[in-house]
Amino acid sequence: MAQSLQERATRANARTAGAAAGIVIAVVAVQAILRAIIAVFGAIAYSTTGDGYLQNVFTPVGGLGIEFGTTVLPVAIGVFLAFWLLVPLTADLRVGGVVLRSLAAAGVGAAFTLVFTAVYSGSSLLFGGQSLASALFGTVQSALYTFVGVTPVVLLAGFLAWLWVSKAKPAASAV
Amino acid sequence: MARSISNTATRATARSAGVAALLVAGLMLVQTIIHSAIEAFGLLAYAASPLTAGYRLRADDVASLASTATGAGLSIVPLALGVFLAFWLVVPITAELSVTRVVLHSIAAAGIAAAVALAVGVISAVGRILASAGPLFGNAFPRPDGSILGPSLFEVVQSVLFTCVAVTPVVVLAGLVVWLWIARTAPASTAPGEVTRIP
Repeated sequence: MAQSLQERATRANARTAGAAAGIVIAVVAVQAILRAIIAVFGAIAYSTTGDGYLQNVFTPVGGLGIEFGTTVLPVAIGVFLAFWLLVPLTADLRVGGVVLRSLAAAGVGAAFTLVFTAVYSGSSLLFGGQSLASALFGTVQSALYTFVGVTPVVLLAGFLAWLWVSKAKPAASAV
Repeated sequence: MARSISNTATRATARSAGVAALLVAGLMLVQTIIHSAIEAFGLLAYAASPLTAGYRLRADDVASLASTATGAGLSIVPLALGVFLAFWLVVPITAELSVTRVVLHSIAAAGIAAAVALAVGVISAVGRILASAGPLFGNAFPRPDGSILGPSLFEVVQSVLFTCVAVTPVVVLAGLVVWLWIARTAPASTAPGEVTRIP
């Protein structure tokens, strides 16, 4: 029988969800920082050839804050809430179950990205930063890209959290 | 004691390396296809929307999208090859490994795959430059254009580094899945979650 939301919201599920969300935030944040560093070094190297502009070198670092606010944080919150309340990872799950639950959690993470990006785009609309059309399409596209990009990371976090939970109950960890 | 490459290169490790490489290639291919589809539908929706009445879809946009998708698709081949070689010859995935070791082996495999992709990228960039026709004897002989060599190499290195950052979680995921698959066929003492180490 399907569990109610209140039954699923246990401290054990919260701990597993926290571990999975922690892995997701660590991997996605490190990826964002590394991408910014590569872009900065690329811009510096490119500017020495005479084709680039040195004043644009730190643009990727400025974009890092926006990426954290509109992608990294919402994905982590979404994954935590999904693994805690909707699709918890338990030791008795099989590999297929872990994959499906992780996909669902990635979907929830992308939905949170959509909301956070919509708020950001809405504020930039107010200040005349961009048109309504580009804000609308950009927001939806950004959430979809996030889903595609973050799904392997959420699957990885789901597997690691599941292995961690299964370690406590090895007999029940049927593959 | 460290094992030699000839000891590591068994048929069993080749099979698990092949599965991991196929998983990486498959996941990246699916990601590339979905990414391109989102971009294509975005362009079509943007062009068809009443909010963007002045916007017309140009052939350049479609050509650029197709070129990006083809480039991303082709970049999967050297990465998958690198993952296969790494998991087969250098850092094989075996049932006796702990989860931490599997993650470390997979990160190493991602690094080796990036090195293979870098080598292929540099060779193809230099090849493209060498193939550019020179003025001698009716453009019959190639003449390398040194001025574009630097920017081309920067582009290749940057692109490979970006790919490496994106592909590392995929390789770790593939490594874990292969490890779980191997552990399923191994004796009960090496079931996932119940870790045994080689003395």
